[in-house]
Amino acid sequence: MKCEYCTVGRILTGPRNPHQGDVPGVSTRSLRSDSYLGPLPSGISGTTEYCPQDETGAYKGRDDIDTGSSPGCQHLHYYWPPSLFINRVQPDISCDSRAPSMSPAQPAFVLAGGSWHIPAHYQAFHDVVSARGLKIIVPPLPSGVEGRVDAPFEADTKAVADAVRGLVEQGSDVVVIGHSSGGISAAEAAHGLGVRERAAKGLPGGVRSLVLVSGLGEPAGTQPQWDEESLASKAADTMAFEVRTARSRCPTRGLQQ
Amino acid sequence: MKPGPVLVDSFYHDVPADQHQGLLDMLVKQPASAAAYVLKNPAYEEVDCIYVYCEDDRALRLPAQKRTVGRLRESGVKMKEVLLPSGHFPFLSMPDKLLDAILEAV
Repeated sequence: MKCEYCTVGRILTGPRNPHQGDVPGVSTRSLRSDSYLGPLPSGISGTTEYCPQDETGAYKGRDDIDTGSSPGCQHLHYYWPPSLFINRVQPDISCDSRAPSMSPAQPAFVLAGGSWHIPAHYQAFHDVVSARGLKIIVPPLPSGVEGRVDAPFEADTKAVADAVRGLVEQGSDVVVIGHSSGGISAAEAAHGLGVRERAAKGLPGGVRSLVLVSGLGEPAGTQPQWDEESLASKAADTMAFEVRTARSRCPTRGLQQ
Repeated sequence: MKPGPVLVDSFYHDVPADQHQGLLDMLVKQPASAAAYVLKNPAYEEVDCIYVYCEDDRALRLPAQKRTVGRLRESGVKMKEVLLPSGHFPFLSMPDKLLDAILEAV
């Protein structure tokens, strides 16, 4: 899904603001877009250009004021009639004056589920996230799909990373959630896609946070450790022999909003 | 103990009982190796990290969760912590609270 507002925003490419996040009161994320429609927040200098017109002469802007964005899009969107001007943020941002407060843009989510579980087990959470207008992808993990998978770690990591990359390349900030053993592939999948690393390269979006929900996690090169006192190992032993074959939902079907 | 009750107790003890059978029916096989992945390039130090502890988790108990965070911290990872009064599946037992906790932490 593309952000409808970014259709406008993408017309306005220019030098990126190197001072992202330096303006007090303005979220790092909301300044990630290097140019946008509308009045510049105070404390930011820039130049003004007229909004491009389409073939009918209509401005390619909207005739209402809207500081929101489509779910999952982290760009700052201002539409300000009737002048329909575009402001390009200049590198010489003054950081002294206080910019108007803006609500930080909401992230999109990718959820790496735990062992033995399929995306449908996460339907309730998916529905709650979607109901709040946020984007969430729960990709199916190849290791949990019927049949042998060569290199299951790499396969699972790739499945998660592909979902993350898709959102990041749309300019979204992403929160990667790893549940239980999914914490391992989530941590690996976020590698190289971090929001700070991308900002340093002048790229928008990226993984903002890694959230481990009762997740496994280990420093690089270390095998995950299981708690011997916990039931997990018993459950694992049981699961090895007693998995039901009748399934009401297809394990290969991911959840995507 | 039969597998059903073991698994319900491990994973879904705080999820409404009328959902248990449906959840069990959807479980799939998982290679044992999936739990033994060795991380090559984890992103712990590239992004902000948050750990949501599930206080009443009977699959991966709270002390085990804390030891995981402890090992990561020893290796230099900064980890923000959140505690939920949940079993192993807050995604099912308290999805709204989980989302609130995550949105507040990130």
